[in-house]
Amino acid sequence: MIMALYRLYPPSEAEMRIRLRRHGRTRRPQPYENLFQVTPTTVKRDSFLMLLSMLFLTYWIICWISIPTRASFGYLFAFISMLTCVLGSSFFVLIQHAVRAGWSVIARRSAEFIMETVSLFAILFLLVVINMKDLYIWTDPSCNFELASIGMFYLNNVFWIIRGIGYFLVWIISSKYICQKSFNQDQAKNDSLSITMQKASYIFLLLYAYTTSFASFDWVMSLQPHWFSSIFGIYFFATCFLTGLASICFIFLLTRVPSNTNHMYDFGKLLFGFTIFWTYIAFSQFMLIWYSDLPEEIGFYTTRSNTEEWWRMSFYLIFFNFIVPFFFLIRKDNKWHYGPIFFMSMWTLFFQFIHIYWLIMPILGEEKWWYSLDCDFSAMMIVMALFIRKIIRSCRKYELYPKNDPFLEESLKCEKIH
Amino acid sequence: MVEKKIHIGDVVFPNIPGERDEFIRGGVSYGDVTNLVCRMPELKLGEEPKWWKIAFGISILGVFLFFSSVFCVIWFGIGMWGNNNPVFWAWDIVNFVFWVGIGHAGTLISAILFLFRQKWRTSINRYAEAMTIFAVICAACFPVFHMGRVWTAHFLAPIPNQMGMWPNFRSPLLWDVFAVSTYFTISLLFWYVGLIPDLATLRDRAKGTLGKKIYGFFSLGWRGSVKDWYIYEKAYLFLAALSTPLVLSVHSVVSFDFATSQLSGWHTTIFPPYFVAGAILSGFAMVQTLIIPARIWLDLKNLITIQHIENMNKVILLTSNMVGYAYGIEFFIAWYSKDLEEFQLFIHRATGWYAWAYWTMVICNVVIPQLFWMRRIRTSIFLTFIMSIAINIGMWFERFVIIVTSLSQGNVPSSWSYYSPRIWDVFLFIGSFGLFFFLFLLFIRFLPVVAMAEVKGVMKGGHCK
Repeated sequence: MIMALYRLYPPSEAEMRIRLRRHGRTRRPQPYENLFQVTPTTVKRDSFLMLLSMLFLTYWIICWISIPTRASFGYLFAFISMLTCVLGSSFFVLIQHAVRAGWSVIARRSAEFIMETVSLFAILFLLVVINMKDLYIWTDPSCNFELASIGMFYLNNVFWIIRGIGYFLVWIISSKYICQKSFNQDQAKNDSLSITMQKASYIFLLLYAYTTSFASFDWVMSLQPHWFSSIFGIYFFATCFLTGLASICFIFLLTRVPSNTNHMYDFGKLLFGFTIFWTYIAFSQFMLIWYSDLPEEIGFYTTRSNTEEWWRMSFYLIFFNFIVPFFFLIRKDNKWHYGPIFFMSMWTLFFQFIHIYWLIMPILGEEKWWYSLDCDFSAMMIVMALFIRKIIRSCRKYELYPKNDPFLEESLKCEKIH
Repeated sequence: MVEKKIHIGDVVFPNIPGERDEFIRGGVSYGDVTNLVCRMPELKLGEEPKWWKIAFGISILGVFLFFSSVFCVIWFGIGMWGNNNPVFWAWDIVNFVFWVGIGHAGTLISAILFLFRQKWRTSINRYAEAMTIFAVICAACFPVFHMGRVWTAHFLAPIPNQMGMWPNFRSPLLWDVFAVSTYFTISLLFWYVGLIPDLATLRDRAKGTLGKKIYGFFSLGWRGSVKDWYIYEKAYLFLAALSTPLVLSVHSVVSFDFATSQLSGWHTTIFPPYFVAGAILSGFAMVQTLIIPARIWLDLKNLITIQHIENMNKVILLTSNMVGYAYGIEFFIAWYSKDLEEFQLFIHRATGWYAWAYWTMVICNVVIPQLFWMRRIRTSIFLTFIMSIAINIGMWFERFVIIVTSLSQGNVPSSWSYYSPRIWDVFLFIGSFGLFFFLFLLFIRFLPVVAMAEVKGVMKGGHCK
């Protein structure tokens, strides 16, 4: 699938020029826009991804019929994992507008493509709603809560669904608004749109902060309804931003928009910084719960460490999500090149997904984490294929970089100070 | 020549996409920057402006108050304070957290904004860093005097001794000692390294022998050669990279003092990031409080323009919303957790004995800063000044609410007790302000308040432009 996406995009104009020069040809390359026109091959890839998704959906349904709870958890994992990329990219886009960032303009469109896929997730959310009885034990009215009244007010089926719809409404409206304005700017140079986007981004950022936190409480934290942690919203945000950054780098590099190594350096620094931020938040939560050792809180960590397999996985998370990226990205030369950044974004995506797996799966209470991995894999393929298909379609439909953005020139000259 | 253009720094320019405003306004040249900044340090002793003399006089009174309260506390013991059972921690720790919090803005401006390539920081970083160092000095006094037996303060450090007595490494109070002292050391180094080129400027311009000697000693033989600059920039970058995690770690460790306990209202996992956001809010508010009069009195309006003030107000708005988020989530989780004691404590905070303090905190920290959504208010110097003081008050009350309400109305109603401060608590707190302003006024008097070399770097034609 990755190769399908990779082959879709011919080299950028700048790269073409270098290649042509190398081969001693004098023919000018095609204009940039023409390289992305719809061709029979790209349409074929489009349907291939759809077909792939449908095939895995069929497989997943077979799993679902035989082991519904396991399959539902697998689906929730896939849904949350890919959604974190979308939310992270949305945060990225909104922050860039809010702070009038110059360096990132060239990469902003890749983030907007990801941001726009949120409407797809609203449809995918339906499967979570259908399976909520298997996922959340509080949906069972006989579930014994210490204080049924509070539990019944917040964690009840109808209110939970209404909240979910609310979050998606906020996300869809804001992403459509911001992306549409940005796409409109491509048609004609209109600087006032930048100001509109900037102003809107403040409000949307505030809304995103709250909706993302509460979505994480509703969809992930409430899997263990007796457990609570006030940092969880920030913890989830850190994961979102990290996967968002990684997916932006990934898409940005695949679309081959002309960029220079300083953009990579900035992305590398952000990945580095947010890897540390994620660790800081994860550590804060762990440290405070472990130190106080209160029975109502410790459940989160005992679930993830009471069998040897889960304990091992918890330990590996520290290694793969912090130690490896930390020592990899601390080096200047690794941040300055396309290859290492591409590699690190894949790495971060993969291991953050494993982290989300670690957040969701232990609730099932299975001893080993590798039982029925096919459920998770098929669910992941459904979501990922649809996600990439949507991005490919956006790539074809719109410009690959905001060509009329007033800060574009500044972005192309992205400077290197330290 | 400079005086004629002095008000250009106050002009608010429209937001034009794709254009960046000049950080230094009024056609100020490199020479003008040096002259403006060096004016105060080059005055002869006794020639200081009237405002400085009055402020210095008051701050000396404050220092006197501080040391006399310290003397009383050491001589008679901490029974002089209003602390009672169960409110064992009160103003002493409130003031400690308050001052440490204020110390956050300096390093944030100088390190994090440096790594984010925010060039506007150059006009205000020196000022904020100095504030950081003096605030941390004030902060460190409180836990030390709270020990009661100050002469055993060295027990805090893990000094090998024949009795085999070691501090309790598992205690967050000890982590605090390490965190704050590391932060202080790195901030001081960072501040000093940044000062070196400017000290050399002062040395070269000094007319008296004493000035030449002292500035010469501290400028470490700076000659302004390429090699000097190369080493300087490397060192600056390293220190910035070292200080960045410290901005987060110090207040996180301070929050551990509370959050590692099992007390309702103290033990909640959001504390580390929440404390850091609050610290940045209070730090920026304090920078505003100090910089607004200084830019007028020191004629620095073209170096510290309205744009700097607006940018800082934006950071205040952001961190105020973060703090607001934390207040809300804390309350929500107390309810969601179905933990009766925790939720009851929050109800007490909002409606109990200290409801006045709680609502002062909410209004000053969350409600008032929302006015900064309006650009007209963000760019109003007078309102910014008033609001920054309100936020300072609000942030002090935040620590008061966290510490005192949790202790005074804990889980066992039979041991509830109302806390009110005694006069020595108040004296010590006011005295700490005296100490802070005393150090700060000395800094303004003898050192360059704006990083001249860095400002010149981001001016038109500068090497960082």
